[in-house]
Amino acid sequence: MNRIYSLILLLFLLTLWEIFCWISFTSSLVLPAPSAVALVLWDGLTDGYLWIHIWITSVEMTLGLLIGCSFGVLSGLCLSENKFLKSLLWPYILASQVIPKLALGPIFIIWFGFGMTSTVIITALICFFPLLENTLTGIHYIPREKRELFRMLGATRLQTLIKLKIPHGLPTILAGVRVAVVLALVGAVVGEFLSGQVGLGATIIAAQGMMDSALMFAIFIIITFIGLAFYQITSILERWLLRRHNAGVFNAKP
Amino acid sequence: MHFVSIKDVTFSYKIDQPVIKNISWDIPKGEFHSLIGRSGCGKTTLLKVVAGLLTPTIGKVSISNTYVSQPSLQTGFVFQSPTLLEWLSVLDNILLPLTISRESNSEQIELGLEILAAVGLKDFSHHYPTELSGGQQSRVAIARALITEPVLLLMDEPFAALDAMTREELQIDLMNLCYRKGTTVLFITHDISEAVYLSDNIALMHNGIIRKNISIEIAKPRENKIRYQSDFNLLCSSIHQIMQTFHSQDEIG
Repeated sequence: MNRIYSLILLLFLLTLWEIFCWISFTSSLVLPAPSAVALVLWDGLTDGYLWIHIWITSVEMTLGLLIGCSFGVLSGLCLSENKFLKSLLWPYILASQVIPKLALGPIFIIWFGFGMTSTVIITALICFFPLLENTLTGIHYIPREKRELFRMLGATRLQTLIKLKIPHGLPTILAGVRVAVVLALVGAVVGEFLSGQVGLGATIIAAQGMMDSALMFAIFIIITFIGLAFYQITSILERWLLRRHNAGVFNAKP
Repeated sequence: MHFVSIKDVTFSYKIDQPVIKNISWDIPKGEFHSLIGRSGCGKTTLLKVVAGLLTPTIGKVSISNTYVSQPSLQTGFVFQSPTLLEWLSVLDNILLPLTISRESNSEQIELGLEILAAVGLKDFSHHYPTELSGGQQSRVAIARALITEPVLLLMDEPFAALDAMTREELQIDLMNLCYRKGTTVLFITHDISEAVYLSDNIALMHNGIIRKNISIEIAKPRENKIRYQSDFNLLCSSIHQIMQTFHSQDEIG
């Protein structure tokens, strides 16, 4: 039922916006009417012009996410297993994360050229830290009694890692993935602002050059849908991976 | 030498601040011994030393003539909280000690189901820990400790968080299980009547020192109704008085 109200609210706001554009005579350069945006979006999707950009941005985002998340989790596991390594590297990791990754864009363009590689690397770097941080946190907060249980059972380090630390840290790690998904879209689009020739970010820059505000709005809509789709996929994946963790939650005894 | 022999054990986390001091305690095979004392008096530390989780600063612990230097599967440990792994089913939680020692096979699954039945959870093997009540979780924790058929069971206030009725049921089941299997138990509690009901011998600990050993001369197996008899309660109250004396001696000192 709430969904219907949300939809009604959307229609109401769009109507308001449409009417405002008609009666205020605002230039379509400044604020295109929703009907104009819808038309551009429809044309772009039906004649196939936008699909290539959607594809490129999605691929960049996926690759960046996969690379950034894998390295983030692996580094988190290594640092949590080796206290010396953690104290040695932590200041550097922190410093490298404080730098806005987008500020590194220009140097990546010099190193890797214009195009996909630079954008993927920027995206991966953005995704790296939330995963590293969440992996470390998830493993750090394992209750002492559970660690002692594994010691009592004579578990090796590897067994403790696989049977206790990773499953225990998984919910926190996956929360990191959800944060990374949102950041990855920012990374991919803004990366394309800097280095892209194709992709939705590059198309926004091109639309800006042509003063085509309606196209820009159309792309905003597409970006929003891509973000929602990735978020949804992550949620489904999360639910599947945590199916055992959550097994009893829904019918738990009070 | 006794089955479990604790000899002059002192343990300190910080230099010159021993948590437990000069503990000597012998536990014959098959007996149920309890350690009672106030919170923070060093009970859990002593239990962890016996388990091999902590190495004594001075002194030695031996179990069936072998010095304890690290945890062993011969010793089962039941923690204050059930410490079950939420992502494993009840049966997998119970089989965890065998999975880790790579002994898990179909025979062991049978054994797991048998032990589950013994703790009264036959129909819960495929449930997950979060689906169980507190008392059921404690039962699973005990079953997990028993699966390796340990010769010594160490229990750290396992029933402290349960309601009185559930605690009573679990005490009866635990006593019967250990009595049948001849398991030696070292049990920590701060509940005097629990200790008296379960034990052959009670050690009173105060400020890291065992101040008194009391042997309980009530024949086993014990029926639940003895808890409500006057001599049982008399015994409890005399132990309570002794512990009070320790406390007041401290205040005077």
